[in-house]
Amino acid sequence: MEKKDLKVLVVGEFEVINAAIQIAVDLYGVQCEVVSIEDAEEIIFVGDYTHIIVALERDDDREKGIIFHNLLKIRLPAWRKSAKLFKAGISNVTADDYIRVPSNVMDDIATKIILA
Amino acid sequence: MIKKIIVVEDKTEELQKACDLVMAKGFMPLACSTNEDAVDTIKKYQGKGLVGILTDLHFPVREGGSPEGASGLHVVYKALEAGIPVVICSNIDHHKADWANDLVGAIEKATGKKVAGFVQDSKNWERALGLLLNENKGD
Repeated sequence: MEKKDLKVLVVGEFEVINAAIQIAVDLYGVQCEVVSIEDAEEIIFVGDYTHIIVALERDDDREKGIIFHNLLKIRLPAWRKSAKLFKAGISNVTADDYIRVPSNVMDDIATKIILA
Repeated sequence: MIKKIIVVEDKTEELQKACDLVMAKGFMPLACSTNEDAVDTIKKYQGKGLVGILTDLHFPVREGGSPEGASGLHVVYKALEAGIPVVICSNIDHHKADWANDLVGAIEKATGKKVAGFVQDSKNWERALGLLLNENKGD
């Protein structure tokens, strides 16, 4: 698949992580959109995303993200969607479907830019 | 707003069959494989384009559980309580389904609402969907 055909959707509740992933994806010149968990399902159902990244964060949001990620494992095939599904977060996980966002970068973005 | 139908079934092949039929009718299927998923999905989409529910009778309460209990009856209760049309689709032998019919009757009595259908003997999702959409009047 060519780069121009790639279309990434970032789903998450924590703006810092969402923004960091979107910026990182944008750097590669790949189409990328961000949506909250609440609105994600309809957008995925009507969309043609090649990759979906569910951003996990701390506490309640993490739980919400994991539940949503598990649901997508059932719903994507049910909708005949072949998008590759990933998780993203700041934990030190090395699984193939986990995108690790370095936490020091996250803290700097949060404290120096977003919360400043 | 996209119109949606919840489909509750723990067997992948059956779930896919049902979801394909729902999509062919122009609805967005919300696939669930456990009671927990189904109840959460009812809560999330009640009043947000949810037009009905198709549910199997036996599936696990939560992920990793065994489908021993008749979790579908809890989904039926939650659906009727919320005023959402629901059809049960099960391969339960109708000769041995008195217990299930009795429990459905008890739920209907408790909620004051009727299920839109109870398909027995085979998982005929097409018929179940027809009942949900009120298309089987001639049957």
